[in-house]
Amino acid sequence: MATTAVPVPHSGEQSWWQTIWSWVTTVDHKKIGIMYIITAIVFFISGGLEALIIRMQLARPENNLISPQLYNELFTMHGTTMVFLAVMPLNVGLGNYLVPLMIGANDMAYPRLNALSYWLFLFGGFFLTSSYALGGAPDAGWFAYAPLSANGGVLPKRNAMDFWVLGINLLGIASILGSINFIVTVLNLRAPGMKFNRMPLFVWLQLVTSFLVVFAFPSVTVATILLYFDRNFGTAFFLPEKGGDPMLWQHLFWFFGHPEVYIMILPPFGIVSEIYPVFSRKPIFGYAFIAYSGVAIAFLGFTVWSHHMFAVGMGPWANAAFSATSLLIAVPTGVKIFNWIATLWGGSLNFKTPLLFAIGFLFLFVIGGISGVMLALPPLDYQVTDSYFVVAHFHYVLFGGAIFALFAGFYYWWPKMFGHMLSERLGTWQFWLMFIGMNLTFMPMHYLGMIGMPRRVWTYERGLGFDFWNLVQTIGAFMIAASIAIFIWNVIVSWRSGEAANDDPWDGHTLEWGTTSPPPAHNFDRIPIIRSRRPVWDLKYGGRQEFTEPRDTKAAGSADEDDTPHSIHLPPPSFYPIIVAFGLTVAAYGLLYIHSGGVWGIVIGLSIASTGIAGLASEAARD
Amino acid sequence: MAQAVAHDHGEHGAPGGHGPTGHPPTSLGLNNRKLGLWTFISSEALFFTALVATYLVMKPRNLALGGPRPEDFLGITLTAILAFILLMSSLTMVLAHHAAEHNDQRGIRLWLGATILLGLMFLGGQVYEFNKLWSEHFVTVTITEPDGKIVREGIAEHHLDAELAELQEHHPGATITQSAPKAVTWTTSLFGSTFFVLTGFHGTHVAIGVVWLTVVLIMALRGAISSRNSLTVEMAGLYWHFVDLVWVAIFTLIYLI
Amino acid sequence: MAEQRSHQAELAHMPQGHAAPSTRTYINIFVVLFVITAIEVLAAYMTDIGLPLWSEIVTLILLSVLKGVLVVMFYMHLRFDSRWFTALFAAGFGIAVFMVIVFLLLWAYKRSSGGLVV
Repeated sequence: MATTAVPVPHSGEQSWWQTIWSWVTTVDHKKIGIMYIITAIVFFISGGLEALIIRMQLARPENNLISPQLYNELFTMHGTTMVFLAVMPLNVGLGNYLVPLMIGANDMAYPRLNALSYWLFLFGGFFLTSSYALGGAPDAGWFAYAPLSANGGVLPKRNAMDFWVLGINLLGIASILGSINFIVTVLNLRAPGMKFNRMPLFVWLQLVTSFLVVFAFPSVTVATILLYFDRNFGTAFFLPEKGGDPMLWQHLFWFFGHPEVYIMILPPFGIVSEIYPVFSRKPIFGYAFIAYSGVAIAFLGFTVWSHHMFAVGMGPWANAAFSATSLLIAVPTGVKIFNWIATLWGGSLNFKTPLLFAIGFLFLFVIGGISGVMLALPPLDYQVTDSYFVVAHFHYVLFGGAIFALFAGFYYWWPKMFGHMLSERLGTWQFWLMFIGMNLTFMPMHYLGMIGMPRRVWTYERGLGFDFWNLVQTIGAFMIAASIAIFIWNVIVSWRSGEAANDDPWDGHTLEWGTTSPPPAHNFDRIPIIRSRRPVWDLKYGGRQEFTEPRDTKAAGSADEDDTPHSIHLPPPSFYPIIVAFGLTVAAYGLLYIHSGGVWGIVIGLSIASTGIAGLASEAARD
Repeated sequence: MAQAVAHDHGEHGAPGGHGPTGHPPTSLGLNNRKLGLWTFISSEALFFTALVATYLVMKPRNLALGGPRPEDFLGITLTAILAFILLMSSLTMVLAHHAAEHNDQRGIRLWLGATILLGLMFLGGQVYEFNKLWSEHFVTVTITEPDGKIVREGIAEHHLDAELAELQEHHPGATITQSAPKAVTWTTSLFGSTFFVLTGFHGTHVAIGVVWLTVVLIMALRGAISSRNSLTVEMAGLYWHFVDLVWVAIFTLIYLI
Repeated sequence: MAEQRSHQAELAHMPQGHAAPSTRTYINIFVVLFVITAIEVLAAYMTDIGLPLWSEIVTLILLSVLKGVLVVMFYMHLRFDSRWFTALFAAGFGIAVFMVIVFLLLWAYKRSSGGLVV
């Protein structure tokens, strides 16, 4: 195909609906990445508000702020939102934006599929959240243990858990398609010289994560389908009173659920692996160890799932085996941590906000990792299972780990994405407030868990020794909320009057710093021939200026046809991805009301989706 | 599809890596779509694995609860025929791909048509089997030994009389009660639930494959398939063979063992 | 990368550029698959003539693995295609086999300790 008219935004000429249309139909990985990040931040805030209400309820003993039922809904939705609608899509969003840039590609391998993944994520999130308005949100916890979830949640005869089941499947399709896209992109679209062992570690870990998604999600898909049948069609996979086996749910769920933990944490590992070397002004220590230990974590991640189930009575041999594999996984994780420390060691540290957050990550993740090793021991797990100790552990890993690293990533790549710096002063405030608030919120949970405060309980009696620390935790939670407010303020300030960023404000070394801020639609006018792991440092300090041949402008007809300097083939915008996602969401609502005419919703939804798929196929056949 | 600026440089691009539509070579010299499809197939393998694992771990539980014995209901003859049909369709599929690569227009149409027909025959066989199972019945027999030990067995209705006599003989002094006959559906026993869900999802995949192949056949009838875009046939074929592969596993693990 | 290069070298030895097998090969493979299926059906009666159950299970699984390998290698062309495809498929298949085995072991262990059934 000849060049396609890439709609280049002409500032001032676009009406507001043209702007919206250009975002709705975009297939540009950068715009899709930004949409992912913005949507995920909105969900992150909504999950955070849920957490604040939970903390307000727990601020003092025998509190009556919200009903027990609402409390159940809030903690279920808090977990589900943070896992599926915040951390995962924030990782995917950053990956979407950065992976093609870092490997020197123009876009993802399947740009339209990429858009489809985003719209499915958005609609899936909307679908899940709409449960609040349509009869009440899911209330059986984020891991939806059967038979509670199979019977209809805490209150029978509600379809709340169907929202959860179907929402997870919409998001699951989005994740699997997105991951296939990442895998093909990284394997196939690398620039000349970008060998595997020269890829940025962020790309490495996104690749590993994508494989985890592709192999782990089918298990939860099956589990949720069976749960849906139990709930709606009278089967009894998980219902013990009808012969089913609730253990099966747990195994199928955690076979997905444990790799899911690495799906959430490996991309943040990649983020900090990019930030430490740049801000210590020396190369990463042990590149290969970090990359391959990521692969090792992925494989081991499939062998440890039952450590979530020590207390359900699998028997001593099963517990011992899964305990052993769980302890083993600490080895590749420890390897990474020592490599990061060694990277910082002796570097001339440039204490900007990204590094602050990345070092915060290191402290907090190590604490979460150590409590993880403790939990891998069945005798200890027996004592603290389903207590606040577990809550403390995974918040250190996912909030202290993933979220701190993600903020480090935002501060690091923000100038690249938007061409403006975020304020260092506000960033430093945000960091310290978040760091202190985080520890005030989650550190006492270790103690409370040890002295026996159970998780997921609506309130607690006065005088059990829980009162003081719960109040401290609530204060900490509000400090975290304030820190997030500072971040949003920082974004607004940067948007209005932020200092303009140059193309390479941090003296970076990966390819994204070799293009403009923000990059053009086609990413690069020309790409240096990659000769090391630090191509942009090679350009700046290496004295070699070798580029791949620019595209032949004459080959593609008249040069004024589009504004891109070279005739780089980019796919045209497409309206079909949102159509397919919309159709599948309509079908999901149909499945929700299957016993009251929902069949028509399924028929209509699938017809819409099929039309969209046919459109996508014909577009694909044209390029 | 997109490609990086850089991919026309020689260091990576395998000479044979040009896609059928003349795309520049990729880093691995492999076609993007084919690489994506293989990744997808890998993921699908895990999907069916979870279903098969569910069937296998539920099987002893089903028997202990007095659910139907699979061998009483799953006829090997019909399944062997179905297995044969799918194997045959894999042959015609690969021949269609072969014809596409050699630009044999008649061959493409003939073999694609044959594959679709065999796929439909398989689906017909499955509908027949489901229908037959759905109309059969089993009885749960509860044997209470004098010492209070309880054993349950699920017996096909058509074997009931013979089996009851035998049971009386083996359990002298035991009280034997029997439930009302229950149809073999996906709600009456764990066997039914796991069996129908597993084979039902396989059948759905076959149906999707038939639709996909029909689209390719329509393209072929319009003369839009040639050796230049034989990948279109190859992609549908890979998916089709994978579905056949799943049946190879189901045939052995569910029907024969 | 080295793998890739050796793969291309291998391709160079093939008679045609694409190195796909002939119609003849496909039909031969089909005949073999057909025969294995017939043997499988017969093997399903092994316990009926007094052979132990484990021998029947092992025989059937080995035969079906053989069938699967033939389909994947010849009909899905993995024998002639890039090793990357083989690696992708093998990774998924490996995890799949691992999952089934561990599930069976977990439930068998539960059953042996009398805890799981009912």
